Amino acid sequence: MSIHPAVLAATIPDSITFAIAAAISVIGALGVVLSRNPVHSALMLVMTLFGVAVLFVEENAQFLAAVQVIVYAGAIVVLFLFVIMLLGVDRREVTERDPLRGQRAVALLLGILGLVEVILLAGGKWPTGAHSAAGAINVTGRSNVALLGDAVFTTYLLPFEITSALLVIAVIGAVVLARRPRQAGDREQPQIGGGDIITADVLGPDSLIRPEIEEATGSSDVHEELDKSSFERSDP
Amino acid sequence: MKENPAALAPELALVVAAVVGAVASGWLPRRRQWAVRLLAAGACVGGLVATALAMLGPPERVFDGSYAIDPATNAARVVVLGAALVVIGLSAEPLRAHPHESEFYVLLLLASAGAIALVGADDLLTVFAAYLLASVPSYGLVGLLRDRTGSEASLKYYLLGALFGIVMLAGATVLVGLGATSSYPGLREALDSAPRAAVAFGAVCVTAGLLFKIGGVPAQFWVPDAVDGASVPAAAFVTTIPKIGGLGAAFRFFTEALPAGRVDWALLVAVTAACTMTLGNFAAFAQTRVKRLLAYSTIGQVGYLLMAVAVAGRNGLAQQALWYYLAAYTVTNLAAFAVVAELPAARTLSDYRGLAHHRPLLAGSLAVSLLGLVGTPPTALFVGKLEIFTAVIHGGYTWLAVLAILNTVASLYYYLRWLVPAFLHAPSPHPAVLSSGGTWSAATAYAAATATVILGVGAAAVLPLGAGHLLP
Repeated sequence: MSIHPAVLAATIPDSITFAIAAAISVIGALGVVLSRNPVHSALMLVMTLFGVAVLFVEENAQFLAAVQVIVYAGAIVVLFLFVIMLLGVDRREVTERDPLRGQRAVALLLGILGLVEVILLAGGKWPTGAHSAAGAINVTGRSNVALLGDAVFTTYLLPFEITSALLVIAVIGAVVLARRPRQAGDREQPQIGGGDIITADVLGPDSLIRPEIEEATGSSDVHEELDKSSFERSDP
Repeated sequence: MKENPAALAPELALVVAAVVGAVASGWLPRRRQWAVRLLAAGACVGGLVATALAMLGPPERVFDGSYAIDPATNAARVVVLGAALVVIGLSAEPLRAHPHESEFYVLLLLASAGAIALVGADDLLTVFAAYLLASVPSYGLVGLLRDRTGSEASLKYYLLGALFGIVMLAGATVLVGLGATSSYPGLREALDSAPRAAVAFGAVCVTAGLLFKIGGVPAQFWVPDAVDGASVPAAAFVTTIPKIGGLGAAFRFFTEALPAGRVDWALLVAVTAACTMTLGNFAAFAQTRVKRLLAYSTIGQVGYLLMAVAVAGRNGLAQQALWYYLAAYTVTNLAAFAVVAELPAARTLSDYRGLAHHRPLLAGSLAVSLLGLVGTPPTALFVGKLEIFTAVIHGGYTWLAVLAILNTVASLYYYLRWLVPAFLHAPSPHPAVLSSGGTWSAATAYAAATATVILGVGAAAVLPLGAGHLLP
């Protein structure tokens, strides 16, 4: 097994940083699983992600660390929190009862299997026939942030620009598909359907029962007709 | 010059028009959204002009070798832009003053740009970015009408697309890991010494993603639901433009990225082609709804097209056969969809009873397009089938050609199930079911049917346009 020398040269400060970051990650992960309150679970997840980000910096993967904090800790956990708060935090049954029978046992088994797999694969080269190429990237004398920037803005400029077109599509798609039908004719003043969020918050998650949804969508045609007429008036 | 945006003028025209259209749609009143339609058509025409200019110049690789502008890319530009124009033509009436009319054209332009980029991409990461650019707008297009079937179709399409996208990305990751590069020429060199099983895994996964784009077995489940659930313009789009991109990308991937003789991808594609055409044709037998029948018919056609990919690189015929067949299939299939768009109330085969009596010209267009899909001379697909079968037999897959001929004969049955009531049966007691959708869709149907015949008669002039070496 030939790991690049640069990877092996771990100093004592490195080890201390690793130990602290690893402990933070593990404590955070345990907190995610053991917290009774889903909001606390989500916040503990932020802690785990920060710990992993520190580990990335330790491994000279500064870009990955930044992405980890910005995307995962910043955006995705906030999304989790939004979902949890929209669904209501008082759903005690979620943590007290297994929705799927035998879920915990299977989760434990898969976790152990994954750990064994990582340990086995880290040492061998049979899956691809070659050792990881990361060691070589880190010893060219340039930070991997610079190398990534180079790659993204020269070699991979075209895919990068295509991705920016994808963002336009995502915005259009979100507007087209997520906007409520009764505001479809109302092109000037898009309104986000905030009324339902308030209803759900006050009355709990079960207040939006199916008949109401059916009724709301069923009556959308009437609203559309109204909007159409009001729209015609505002047409210069 | 390595980063030469001018080389991408047709794609840029589409993207810029899409962005301008998206911004303009926020201000345009509902009845004046035809401006965006005009803008979209203008972008397509401009793109075609730019492509004609690019065809005169030498082939080149731009953006650090990640994008090839060669005969295949130019052929894809012509076919995709032409198809987009036809789709815009047939969607003029069904979408007029629809709340999301502008968004339809914007998404159509972006998806077309994605389809072209799929063909031009000479790099695994570019291919995947193009896959997303071609797929994501399609999900929106299918669900644009926001009725129950449209939403269901969109969701199915999206979930399958996400699944196959992940599979494709996994395959690309394995190949990049093996070759330490993502560019096709580099991969071709590096994969020659890589473990065979890992190369095969990566190649199969990337193929799976491309099969989803073209609706080939085993990724064909979304086609009937998406086509039946979507509006007619979206269905016409989804059965043509993404397939052009996917097939072009598959052709380039197999011939340029995989080292010859390392993995037997040709057999994989041949078996896929056989399954696809057989399943599509036999499932079409029992259909009674016209859009569903056309959906299964497109699966059958994709099977024929995959045959050309299976013999890619074995002889010079395969490439020109693929591009000619794609052009012919696109215009013929769009002619059939234009007829469907012209008769919005007729949803089942029996609704077409007596069409020849009420609308002889339209019935004639339908006959040309459906018999064209079978491959009757003098339509374009006759020459296309001849070309593909020749290429396949020369490539050593005679059994595949025999199966394809049997399939072609069988497919005549379900096309006739549609045509016979239209021509021979007495007119329906409810003529309202054959009421006209509007002049634009009728004109599009006539024009596309005429183009099918012209393309067939003038095949000798058009065929060489799809030939020419791919860039290494």
